[in-house]
Amino acid sequence: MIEIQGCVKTYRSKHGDGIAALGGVDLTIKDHEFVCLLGPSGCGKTTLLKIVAGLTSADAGQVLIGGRPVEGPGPDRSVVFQNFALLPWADVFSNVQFGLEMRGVHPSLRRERALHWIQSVGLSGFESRFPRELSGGMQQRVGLARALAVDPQILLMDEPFTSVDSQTRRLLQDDLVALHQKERKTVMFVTHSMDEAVRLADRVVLLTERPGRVLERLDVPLPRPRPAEIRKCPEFSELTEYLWSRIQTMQPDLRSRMSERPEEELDK
Amino acid sequence: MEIRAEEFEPRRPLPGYLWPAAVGIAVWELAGRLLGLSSVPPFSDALKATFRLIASSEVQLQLAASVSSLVAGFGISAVFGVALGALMGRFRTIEALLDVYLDVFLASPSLIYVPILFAFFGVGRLTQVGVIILYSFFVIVAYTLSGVRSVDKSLVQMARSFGADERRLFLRVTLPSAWPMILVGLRVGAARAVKGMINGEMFIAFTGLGALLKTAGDRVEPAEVWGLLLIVLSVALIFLGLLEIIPQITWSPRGRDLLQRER
Repeated sequence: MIEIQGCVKTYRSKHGDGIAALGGVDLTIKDHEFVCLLGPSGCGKTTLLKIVAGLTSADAGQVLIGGRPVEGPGPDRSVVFQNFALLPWADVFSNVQFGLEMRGVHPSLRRERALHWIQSVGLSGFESRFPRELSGGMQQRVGLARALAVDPQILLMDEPFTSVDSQTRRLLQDDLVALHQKERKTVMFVTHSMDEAVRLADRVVLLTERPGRVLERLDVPLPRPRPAEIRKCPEFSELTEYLWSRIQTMQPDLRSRMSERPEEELDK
Repeated sequence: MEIRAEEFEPRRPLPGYLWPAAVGIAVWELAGRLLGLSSVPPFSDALKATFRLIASSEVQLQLAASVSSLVAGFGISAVFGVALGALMGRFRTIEALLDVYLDVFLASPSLIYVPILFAFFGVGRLTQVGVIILYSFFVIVAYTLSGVRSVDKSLVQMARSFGADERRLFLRVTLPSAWPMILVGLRVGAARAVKGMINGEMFIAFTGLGALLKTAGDRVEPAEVWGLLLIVLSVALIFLGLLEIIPQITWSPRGRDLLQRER
């Protein structure tokens, strides 16, 4: 179980003025639950995910995983990055092994696990290809295989399908649904797509614009397993329409903030 | 009948980079013959002088002295230069401490520090190696530093998310990512080391090829001067050519395996 309690984060720019990214977020994610964080860009979704990942720390509040406070990255979590973050000089096989290698797993076991996950994400035969030789969708499959190869309980996905075209995106979503059906990992998935959130999540958490707070928690009562045809079902469009109407209420304020720098750029 | 394209592949007479040399040599030969200046002998005479010089045991001895100083000086620069550059890139405090001095040493002509070497080591091999180090060390530090510093932040974050410790982060992410830049630094450093070798020999230590060049110049023996020049150019070319082995090894499939999968 992930318990996010009163997380506040403010970024300081070079001139000393702060940009409040998170304004006190409370959220509990149950084991095996698939939660999508949805909100306008720059609302601190990614920041919240990074705090849970242990890659950055909250100014106030804390995150508990299994009752213990997060103090840094841990073997119970792995992250899938928006820009894939693959090693450009390493082939698919090495990239998938990377997480296992960092955790000191024995080479023979490492190879075996990597091959298994390369197959699971549909990249068999591409083991010796380099990232630059792969499409965006395939690169993110490598990122996913790398994250799953370390067998985490929690998968933290930071807008993982934003950098690929919309057709590939749908395919990746379908595969992730199938994978989740099988693996039942706890997933925290950041997105700004309402369609994606409803397609994937057990629960959608809507954040307000900066400084981000939880505006609403919405259960997605669509049954699992969830085939791609679920989009045709009236409840699906009802849910996405509802989320859109809620986001629209934030729009006027959002537009005035468009000129400001998004929080990702300051997060270095 | 089907004709395959590759059967018509013409045999290339010369690799592209040899053409400028060929043209240069032709102009040199013509100028030498037509102008009739004693200071500019034709290329063929210079080449003859080169072979004559190479055959003499005196020249061989000095050549060996020069080359061994070059290898020692550049080797020390490469090992310690890459190490210092990596440390500066990795630790902000070390960089803050030394960055200014790196700039100072890079900007100032290396020969001005020679009197200090001279005072310690006198005229001889150690001074000569010291000059070569002064010429090549700092530029290798600078390239390594900038390579290490420009590592993709998102890769560092990725490695940390998988719990990478400092050692693994450095060996698996920082070093491979800085490697192309380090190789450029080594090449520039090697070129400067050759310069340092000749400058040091001609103006300070009076040994090796530089000393031969200087005495030949003083005795006004143009063919010999040009012949020595060709020897120096060959040393530089061979030295830089040998250095190309490093990227070839590290970027070959086998080298990649070594770099990536073991440990």
